[in-house]
Amino acid sequence: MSLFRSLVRRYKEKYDLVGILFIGPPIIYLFLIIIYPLITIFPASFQEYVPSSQSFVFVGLKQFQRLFADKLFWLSIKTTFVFAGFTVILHLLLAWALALLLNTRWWPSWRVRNLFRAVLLFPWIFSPAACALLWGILYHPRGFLSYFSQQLLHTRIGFLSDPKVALWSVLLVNGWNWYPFYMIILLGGLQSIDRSLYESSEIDGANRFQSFFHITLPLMTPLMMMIVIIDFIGTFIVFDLVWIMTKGGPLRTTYLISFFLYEKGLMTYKLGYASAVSVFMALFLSAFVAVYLILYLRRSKV
Amino acid sequence: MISKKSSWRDYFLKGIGLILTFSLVLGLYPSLGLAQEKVKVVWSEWWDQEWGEENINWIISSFEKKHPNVNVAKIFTPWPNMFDKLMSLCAAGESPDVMGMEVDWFLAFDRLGVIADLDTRLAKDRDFQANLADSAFIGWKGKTKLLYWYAMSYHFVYDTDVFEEKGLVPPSSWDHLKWVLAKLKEPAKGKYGLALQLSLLSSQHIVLRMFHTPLVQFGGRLLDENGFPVFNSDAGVRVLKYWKSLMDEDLIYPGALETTEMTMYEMMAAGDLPLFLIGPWVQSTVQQSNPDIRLAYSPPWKDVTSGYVAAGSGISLSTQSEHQDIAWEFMKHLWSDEVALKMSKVASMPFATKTVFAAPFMKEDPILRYQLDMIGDPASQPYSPVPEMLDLYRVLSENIQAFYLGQKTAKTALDDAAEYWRKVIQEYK
Repeated sequence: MSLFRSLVRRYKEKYDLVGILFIGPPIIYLFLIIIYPLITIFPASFQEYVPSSQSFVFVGLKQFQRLFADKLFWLSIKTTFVFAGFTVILHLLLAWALALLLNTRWWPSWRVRNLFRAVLLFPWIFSPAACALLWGILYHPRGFLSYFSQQLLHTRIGFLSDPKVALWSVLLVNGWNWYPFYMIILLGGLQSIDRSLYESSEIDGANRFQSFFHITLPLMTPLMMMIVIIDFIGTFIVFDLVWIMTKGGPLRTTYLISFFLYEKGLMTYKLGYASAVSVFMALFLSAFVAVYLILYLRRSKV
Repeated sequence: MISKKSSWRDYFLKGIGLILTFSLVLGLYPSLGLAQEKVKVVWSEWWDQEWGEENINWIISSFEKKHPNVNVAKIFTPWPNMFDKLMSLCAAGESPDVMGMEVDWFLAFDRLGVIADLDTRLAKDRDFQANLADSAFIGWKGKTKLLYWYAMSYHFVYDTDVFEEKGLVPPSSWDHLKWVLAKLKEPAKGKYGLALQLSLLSSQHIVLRMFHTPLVQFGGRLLDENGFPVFNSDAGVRVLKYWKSLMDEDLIYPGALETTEMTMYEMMAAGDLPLFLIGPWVQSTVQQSNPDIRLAYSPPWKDVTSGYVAAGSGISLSTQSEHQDIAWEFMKHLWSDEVALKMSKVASMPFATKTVFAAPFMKEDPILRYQLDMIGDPASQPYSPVPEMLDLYRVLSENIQAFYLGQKTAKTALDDAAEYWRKVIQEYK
């Protein structure tokens, strides 16, 4: 008993038990929701699921061979890349522009600025599903935007039915839903920059553009890098917003990799195949982040 | 002298002890058999929205009155989400005992081993089996897996007030339909007589209503006797070209590729859609938004054939059910005269029993009066199960869209879809 007590006393001295108790549940939750599924899909990707016996049969690399030979898979990858890439660009442009606007000293009063900021945050309160339904009404053939396009351009735009336009239509909705999140991050970053740097540069004769490119941008680069990574990964796995609006149509022009995964896994119950898709996505996104970080670190060392 | 502090503490401790004891007794009460435990039967359904929650609750309570030891719990999910919900439940081993089921879904669940064969039970309940409509039995590889709760056929429903106002009679042929649409069109107000539902958000509706229904009329078939696709025939090409002609002649609402069933319900309720190619549930659904609307079916007509698609929605029994016998009793209750006769009138649906089919109101109700003729027509074709039906429907719908977008000819679109269907069906043979 005394040995036990001394062990407990030494443990308490070394570790903050209360802190561990607080952080324990989230770590357990993370393990169950993220780590454990990640571990289980790897072996599942080398197997085939037999629904009748609810068992898995080892098939080696057959799932990956099927995957890389599947034209629909490559189509979904290409579409997802375009969707994620341009969404990141749109988010950065919108978030930057609005963050800079909110960070200026041109506002008549802080109340007006705060009110404007609250309005700009509005899209973020909608869940992706609610956004999809809301914009579905706006994009509807009898909706406001269709009427507007008819009046202005004398032609009705099929926002969700024209294969040339549909992807950009859903991209815009995704951009609208999430730009406030990145705007707030960038605004926080801008407000944390020491004002004395700008004052010094002004004294040295730098104009606003020079200050922006030589002070603001370099200091904001780590934050932007984080935004690009989070945004790209988050957009790469988007499902609900686009599924509700188009289900991958028209003619699979909005068919994302998450739809491919969903159809293989849950609609046709090819769990082994779906696991191979998941493994590919996990490895690809990890590689993307790793390459990005390496390039950034190399650049920052230079 | 006893201190106040110690007496308060004593009372507190005694109170805690009493609560704990009481909880223990309550907890032990059922397990000691002192309370009669009810058997729980879970029923997954989507009909709350279409027929009203109070009617579904009545079905349940009328069964529970006859079986006081049974508690029926329903899982309501709107129809568009039901497949996904059921799939998740079944994969988790928690399938409902009794499941609302569609013909194009059940093979996916059968593959999981969740759908029970019903032949043995039907053989034991001869009276029940005998009262089921002939078209009620849906099977796969010789085994009955699904019973239609209601049968139906798709045809044009029209808004009688709009037609009376315009002095029109309902369409009586595909050519007459074009004439009627021309009369219903009001371009200045942006109003048309019909909308086409060609959105990929429900590829089942594209295939069953927009394609299969006119295909049967034009003398074609979806599948041959071996279950392989034959819809890429002249009749299939004619179907696609017919709808295209309506678009080209500006006789239908623009934006067909984005139009969904929900939109069309709203348009009909608002008086903006006088015609709708749909099943009989439209009445109860639209009347929830507009109780004053009066709808009726056009009389069935004949083109190359007088046939239609004989479809329906059904109920299956789960192999995962722990109370299969009670669940089966509940299933039989759904087809009982008490339920079927009442719900046929309430929902304006032909419930799949011989009693309902023989009831006088089936010929009097403006929504129901032609249903039996369409379902029972010798040229009508059943809605047959096909493996991976949702995927096949999607591919066919996409090819149909490709034709309407000018990317493929009608024949090429149907040939491409048929080739994909053949490949998938062959894998299951």
